Amino acid sequence: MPNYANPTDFLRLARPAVPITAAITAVLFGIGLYLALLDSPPDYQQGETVRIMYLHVPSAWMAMFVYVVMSSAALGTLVWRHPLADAAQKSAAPLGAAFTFLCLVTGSLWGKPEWGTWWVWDARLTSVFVLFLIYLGIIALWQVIEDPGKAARLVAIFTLVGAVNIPIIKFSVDWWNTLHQSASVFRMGGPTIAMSMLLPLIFMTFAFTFLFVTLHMLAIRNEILRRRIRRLSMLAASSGEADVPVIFAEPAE
Amino acid sequence: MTADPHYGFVVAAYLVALGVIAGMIVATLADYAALKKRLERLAARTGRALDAERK
Repeated sequence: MPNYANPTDFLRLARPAVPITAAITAVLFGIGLYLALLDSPPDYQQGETVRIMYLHVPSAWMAMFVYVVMSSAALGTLVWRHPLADAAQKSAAPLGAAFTFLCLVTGSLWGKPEWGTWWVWDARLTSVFVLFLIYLGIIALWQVIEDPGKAARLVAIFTLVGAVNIPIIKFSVDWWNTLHQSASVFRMGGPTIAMSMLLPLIFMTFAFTFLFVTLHMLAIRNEILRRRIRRLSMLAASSGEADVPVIFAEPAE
Repeated sequence: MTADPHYGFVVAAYLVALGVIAGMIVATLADYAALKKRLERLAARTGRALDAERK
């Protein structure tokens, strides 16, 4: 049985898995975009701007989901010393930052016509902005700490401390008075959204999820290659090989 | 849909999403191509096998 903690076994698994998840992503995006742009009706109040929801809500969910994945990986680093945990954590951070950026921008583009403003410092928007800053902080930490093991442990601690922001984002609309609407899908009593709008939302959410799964596998593969380069470079340097500065270009692996 | 006064906001949101998603995909693939090239060059120089990405 393959040991997926082993990088070589992970690569062996990822090679056939990536085309499959990429194909599923493409199909889900195809169906999701058809439903979102052509099949679903305009909202009786918001009109066509409701179609921004099919991007904004999935990217918001992914912003939080990726952080939960990173927090699990951080536990893997600190508690179980899983050899791939820090690679998974490091490679997920830029993807999480991108989804959070998309969430903020689409939210702003939705807010202007509906609320009359691009931005307000209310609890939901501010806590998501803080999440974006946390992602950037994690990416920066990986870059500035030279020792990979030390970087992994420090980033794992930082990630777990930052995880407190996730329930704050989720419940901010219940705990404080905000301009942002309260939960309409994951709530007690079921979704309040019409099925004609819920269906494209579900397809787009799964499309975003499979996109992340695909890109995360590819990014972990890249991280494994980066480590092999570092190790080979160090071996070359220790055996007196010339021209080995390549290892020092990637300090935190 | 194009008659909606806020049509531009919808188009802008989808264009930004396209840019961000395409950016993520291109960055990941470009990183892989660059790493693979470096690894091959290094492996050839050191004479060590590429146990990670052996074809």
